Amino acid sequence: MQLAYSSAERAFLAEVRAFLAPWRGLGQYLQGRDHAGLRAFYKALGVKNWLSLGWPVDHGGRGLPPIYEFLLWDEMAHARIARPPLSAGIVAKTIIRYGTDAQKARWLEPIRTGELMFSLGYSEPEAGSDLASLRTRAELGPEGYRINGTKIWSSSAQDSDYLWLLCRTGEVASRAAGLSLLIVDLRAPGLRIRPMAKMSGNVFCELFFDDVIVPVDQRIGPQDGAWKMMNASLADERHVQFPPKRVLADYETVRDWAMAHGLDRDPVVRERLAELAVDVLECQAHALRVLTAQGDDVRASIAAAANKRASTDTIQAIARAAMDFGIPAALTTAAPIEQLWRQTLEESLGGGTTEIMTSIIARQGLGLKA
Amino acid sequence: MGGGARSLDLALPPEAVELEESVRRFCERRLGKDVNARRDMPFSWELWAEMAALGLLEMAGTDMEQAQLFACIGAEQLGYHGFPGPVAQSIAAAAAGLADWDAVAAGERLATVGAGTTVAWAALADDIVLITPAGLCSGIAGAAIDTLGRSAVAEVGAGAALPGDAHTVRARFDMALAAYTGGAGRFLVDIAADHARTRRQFGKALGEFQAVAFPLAEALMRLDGAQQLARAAALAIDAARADAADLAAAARLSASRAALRAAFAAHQTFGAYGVMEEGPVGWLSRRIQEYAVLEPSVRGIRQTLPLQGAAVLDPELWPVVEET
Repeated sequence: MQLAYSSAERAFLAEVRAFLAPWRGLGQYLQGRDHAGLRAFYKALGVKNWLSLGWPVDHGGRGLPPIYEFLLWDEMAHARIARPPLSAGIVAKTIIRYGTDAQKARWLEPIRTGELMFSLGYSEPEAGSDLASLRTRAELGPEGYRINGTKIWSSSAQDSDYLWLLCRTGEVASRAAGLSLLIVDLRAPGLRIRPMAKMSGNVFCELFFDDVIVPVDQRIGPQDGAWKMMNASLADERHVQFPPKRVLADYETVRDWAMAHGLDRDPVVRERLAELAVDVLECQAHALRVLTAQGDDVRASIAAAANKRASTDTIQAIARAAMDFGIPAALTTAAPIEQLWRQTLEESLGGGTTEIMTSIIARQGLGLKA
Repeated sequence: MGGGARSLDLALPPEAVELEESVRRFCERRLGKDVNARRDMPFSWELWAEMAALGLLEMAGTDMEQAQLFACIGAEQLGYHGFPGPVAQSIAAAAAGLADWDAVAAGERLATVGAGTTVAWAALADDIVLITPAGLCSGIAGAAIDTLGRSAVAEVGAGAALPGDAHTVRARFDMALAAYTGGAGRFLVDIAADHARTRRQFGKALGEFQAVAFPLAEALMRLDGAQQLARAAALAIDAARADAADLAAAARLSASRAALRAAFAAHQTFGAYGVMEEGPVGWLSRRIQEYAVLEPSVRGIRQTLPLQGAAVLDPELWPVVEET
């Protein structure tokens, strides 16, 4: 048992920090509205070949263990710069694992260089956490797949190039066994995108499909075979799902703000901050469990669920504590507190709700079928 | 990017796994697998000496590599089985410079550690170590006090100064108590989950109701985090990190609140049986609560834990470990 990064990992971390220095003002972690800035940043990462750190070398990647991606995105979260792009994570890793040679040749290089941005098309108005009930339909015809239906809660679809679409190709009763993954051009005829403002200042999109045609060669993996691929891609991304330094950054923000206002001299505030500091440490412990559980699917699944649950609990507790400290300065939009209060609300929903995470822990950790 | 040093690894060394197994087998053999047998097991000198014969206390008093990690693992198992006696306190006492430490390590004398004027196990202990702002001193036991946790609490007055380092004793106290308390909490989650899997109401197992399952899952999550913090604190003490005491204090606060969460979830899961004197939960939840309140207390940690210390687990702060 040992808790240190290796010297090679430390050297990489130093390189990451040096690279990030001029990007620290980008500030697109909590709010991702500067899409031009994000594209420029992802392209800069592409030049470093850092969007493909964990991809196999023969697919243009660096072939490094997951900890390198963790180090990069953990540091990014601490500096509030940006989140991992969907394209280089779930999309690319699924194509690497299940795509044809032609699909790999077409998609991987522009993803690796940060040219292409993807949005996720999973949820529907009547299918949230229960994705197996989704109804957006893709009918295979001579011109390709004809798509009809509605997707909702897709982040950044208004500024992205493609949608990673989960849709029904089997009968409704087939549930998870009748789903397929398609890559949809977000400028395709028949596709309408309606942006909706979130409390955080970010944007969710609703997408309406009216006879949208998608070429057959933009289906990744077998028809009706999406479920297994989605589970594999979730496992691929566990180590970057919720970086502990995001939690640390929130704590440091509130602690420093409280100290700047002299609130830490109040024993009640002081004790609350100490409790939160321990919450932050617990999150770091969970993240270490995720990192070291790679290869043991059940252990990794429990650890990842615990990490997500504990982290989102903690950032919400941090933001709400700052409000509980009870000074009007917490409310001003010039201070970071009210933004954290708003933004943290959405973190316990996206990427698996708190309820789903807790259910995973209950089922896999305790054998309770809740 | 190859590098000659090991990356993160939370797996216990084989020797620690062996110790964990031997303590588990010992507890199951001597305390029984049935919770009712454990609940009724009072402190006994014979049992204490047998536990000491496992070498756990002796090891805690050495400079052996990863000695505190081994002590931590042993305390986890003893806590899981609710082993009666000053387990964590004895591990801490190993650094107090007691004249008769060898006899304590052998289980022939009983030592305890505390602060303030009421100390757990002081009514039975031969050696009482008090942590004071001025350093360590021996304690002189006064009247025994009946308490919630039934851990042989006595009033204690200050005696002669002791040579050990108070900072070290306190770090080991917090680390070992975190391990013991966390282990106790895990036991309560396990028996409550077992009950929830088998007890049926409204036509299905209790555990199929999220209202029952989720508090237990939340407690498990908290306990898993606390366990890693306690083990990390032990490693930090072994590595003589300057901030080891901060990590140990954080681990104790983490374990204490996680174990209390587990205890209250277990009380509720067992229903009326969970609040009976002869029930499976109360004998241990009492002790968890008592250990949180007695000084040095968990409240004291909330008042003194450095607010800058939220990053002490960062792998960048640990010394690089070269591949052997």
